Amino acid sequence: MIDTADMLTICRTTYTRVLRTKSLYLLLASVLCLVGAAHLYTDLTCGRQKELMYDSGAALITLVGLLSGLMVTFDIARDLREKVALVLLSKPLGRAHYLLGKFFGVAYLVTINIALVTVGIMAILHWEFGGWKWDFLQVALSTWGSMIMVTALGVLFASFLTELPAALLTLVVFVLGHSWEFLARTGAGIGKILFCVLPNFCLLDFKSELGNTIGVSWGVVLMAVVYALVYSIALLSLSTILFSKRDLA
Amino acid sequence: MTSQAPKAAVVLLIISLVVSMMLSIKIHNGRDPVSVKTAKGGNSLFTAGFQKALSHFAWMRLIQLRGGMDKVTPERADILIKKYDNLTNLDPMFAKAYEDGALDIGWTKPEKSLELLDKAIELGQIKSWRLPFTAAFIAKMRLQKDPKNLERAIKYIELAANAPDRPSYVKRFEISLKAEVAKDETEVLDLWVKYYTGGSDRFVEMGGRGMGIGGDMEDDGSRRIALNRISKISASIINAAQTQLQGEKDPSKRQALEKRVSDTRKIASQVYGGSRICPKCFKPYQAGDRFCPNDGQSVTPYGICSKCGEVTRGAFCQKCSTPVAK
Repeated sequence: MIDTADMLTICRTTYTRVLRTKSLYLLLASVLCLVGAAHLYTDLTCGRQKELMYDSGAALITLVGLLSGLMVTFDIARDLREKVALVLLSKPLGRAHYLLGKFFGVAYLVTINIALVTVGIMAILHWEFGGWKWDFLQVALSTWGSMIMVTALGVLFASFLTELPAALLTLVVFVLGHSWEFLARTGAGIGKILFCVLPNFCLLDFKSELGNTIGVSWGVVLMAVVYALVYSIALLSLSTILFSKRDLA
Repeated sequence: MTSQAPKAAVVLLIISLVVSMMLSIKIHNGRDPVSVKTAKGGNSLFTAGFQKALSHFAWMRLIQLRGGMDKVTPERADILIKKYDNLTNLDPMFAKAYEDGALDIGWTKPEKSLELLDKAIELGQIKSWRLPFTAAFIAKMRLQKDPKNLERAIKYIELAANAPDRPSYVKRFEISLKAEVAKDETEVLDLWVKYYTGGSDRFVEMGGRGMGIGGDMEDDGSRRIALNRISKISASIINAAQTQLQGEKDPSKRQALEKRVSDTRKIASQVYGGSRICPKCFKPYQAGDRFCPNDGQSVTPYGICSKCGEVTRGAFCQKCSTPVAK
C-alpha cells in the first residue's frame, strides 16, 4: 500500500527546492522575450514573423519542459551521492515512495513551467495575430505529455546511473524517440513492435502539423497525452524494480 | 522495500506497456499519413521535434546567403539547391521556399528547379496555384523546346488552372500552351470559347455583355483578350477555308469547308451575343457604322431609321419613333 503522505512530502520538498532557483524565473522571462522579439524579424524572415513566433514558441515550450524534466536526473543522483536518500530510506519509507515523490515533484514543476510559458506565449500570439490561437493549447498539452514521459525516463535512468550519464541518456532517448516514425513505415513486424514498445515521442509531436495549420483533432491529442501518461507508468514501474535491486550503501 | 512492491510493479509494467502499445497504434492510425510525412520531413532524423523552428533559422540564413549573391552562377546554383532541399526537408509545407528556390535556380538549372517543385507537388498538401504555375513557366521557357517538355508544362499548368484562387492569366497560359499542341485552329478556337464561357452558356444568355462575374472572366482585361483571340482565330479559320474553297472541286470537301465557315461565323457571332460582326476581322461594329472601326472593311450598316436616317440602338427611332430593324 502506498503511503501518499510520505510521497507528497518528498514531492513538496523536491519542487520547493527547485522553485527556489532564481535562474528558473530568468529562463521563463527570457523565453517570453525571445518569442515577443520575433515581431521584429519581419525583414529577416521576409514577412514570416508570425510563423516564426508560433513555431519558436512551440520549440521554447519544449525546451523549458525538457530542462525542467531533466532536473529529476540531477536531483535523484545528488540525493544518492550526498547520501540524503540513504537517510530518507532508513525511515519507514519505501523506495517506490521515494521515486514517485521525486517524479511527482518534478512533474509538478514541469506543469507549472509549461503552464506559465503557455499563458505568456498565448498572450503574445494574441497581440500579434489579433485573436486567440487556441490550437497552441494542443501544442502545449502534447508537449506537457512528452515532458511527463521525459521526467519518467529521467527517474528510470537516475535509478541506476549517476547524474551526467542519466541526463545524457534521457536526452539521447528523447532525440531518438522523435525518429521512430520510420519504424512504423517499415513493412517488417519487428519494426512495428519496436515502434510500439520504444518511448515514442513522435506520437506526441504535433508542432509541424499545427504550425502549418493542417490541424489535428483534439481526440488524437488527448489520446497522445493518455499514451504519455500510461507509458510513464510503465517507466516508473521499471524504475521501481531496478531501484529496489540497487545497493545504496 | 517489500518483495510485494516489485511484484506489483512488474504487473503494472506489463499492463501499462500493453495499453501503451495499443494506444500508439491507435494514435498512429488516427493521424493523417500525409500530415505525418509532412511533420516528419525527409531527413529531419535528429531534430527532436524542433524541425519547424529550425526551418525558420535555415530560411533566414538562406535569405542572407542569397542576398550576398549578385548573380546565380551554376556553381552557386548547386549550393542553393542543397540549401533549399535541406530547408524543405525541415518544413515540407514551406510553399514560399519552393517557389523562391525554383525561381532562383530555374534560370541556370531548370531540371533541378522542377525537381524542387515536384517535391512540393507530390506532397499534395500545398494548395497554392503558384507552384505548378512556376513549374509550367520553367518547363516552357527554360527547358529545350520539344514536345515532351511541352507536355510536362501542360501537365503542370493543368494543376495550376484547377487550383483555387488562381488568377485569370493562369487559365490563359494553359490555353496558349494547349494551343501549341492542338491539331488545328478549330481546336484552339474551341479552347478560347470554352474559356470565355467559363464552362457555361452564359455568353449566349448575356449577349457577351456584363460578363466578368465569376467563371474564368475575372476582369474586363480577360474578356477583351479572349474576344480578341476568338475574333483573330475565327478570321484566320474562315479566310483559310475560303481560300481553299476557291480551288476545291470535290463536292464533299467543299461542303465540309462551307460548314466550317458557317460554324465559325456562328460561334463568333454567338460570342458577341448576336451583334453584327465584321466579315474580315470578326469584331463587332456599332449601329450606324458603314466601315469596321477595327480594320476599315466595308460592313452592312444597321440601326438606321429608314424614315429620317437617325442612328438608334433601340428597336424604335428616337426622333420619329419608326420601328428600326436590328
